Amino acid sequence: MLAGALFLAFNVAPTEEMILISFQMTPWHALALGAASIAVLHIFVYAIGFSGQERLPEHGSLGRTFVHFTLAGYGIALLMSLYVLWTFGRTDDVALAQVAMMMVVLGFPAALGAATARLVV
Amino acid sequence: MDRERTVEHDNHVPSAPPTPWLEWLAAGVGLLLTLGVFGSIGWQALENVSAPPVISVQIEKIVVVEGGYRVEFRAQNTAGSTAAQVEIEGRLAGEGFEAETSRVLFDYVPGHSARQGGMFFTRDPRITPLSLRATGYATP
Repeated sequence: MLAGALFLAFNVAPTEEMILISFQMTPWHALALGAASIAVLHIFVYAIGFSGQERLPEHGSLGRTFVHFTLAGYGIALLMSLYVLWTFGRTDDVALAQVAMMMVVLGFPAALGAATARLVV
Repeated sequence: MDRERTVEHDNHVPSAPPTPWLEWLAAGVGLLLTLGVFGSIGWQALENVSAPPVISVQIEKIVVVEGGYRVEFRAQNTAGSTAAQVEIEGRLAGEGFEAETSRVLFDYVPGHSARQGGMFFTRDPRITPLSLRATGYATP
């Protein structure tokens, strides 16, 4: 998941558009995008039925699986986004809330990458 | 499979293998990070910090360089919303010579954040009054 998130995030992070999107979004948009990312991550891995789909662990409830795998995966995606943003100097002298917005914007492709990696590997 | 599991349950054998600590750690970090990021954005949403940009410029350092002087400065956006195409104008006006003007353009100055830049002058800004200010911005 880490490799998948890095793979996609690294490709789009150097572009100006990523931070431009975060500047143009209101916080509500960002919250919606973050929720959408988590939903996509969960649905890709457990619900749609792509080949290589993970089966819900037998001993886990839906909520447990969500916290243990989906949220952990989204955490990886966010960390990866932060790392990549920091590498490209996007976080220098920028307020925490703005960094959080950028992380969510970049977290969307990162979450997609993480989900894809989970399916493929 | 299902039958086996039922049998296990009936025999009161603990059916769930113990969760590895690494999994707990990953889940915890993911949960904290997600809540932190969402909390920070949510706070921003509730506080309604999207006031139009206010940009103040502070001079940080004046250095003698080849062919003149370099003035390093820092443009701070103290309001919530991001300003794009921010032009900073530096004007060196003394007596006995024509005023010298330099301009710098920042692509973005995000809300509550700062950007750094520099300007070049041929006369010494330490002995001549120098004023730096943001002349305008565009919404991104």
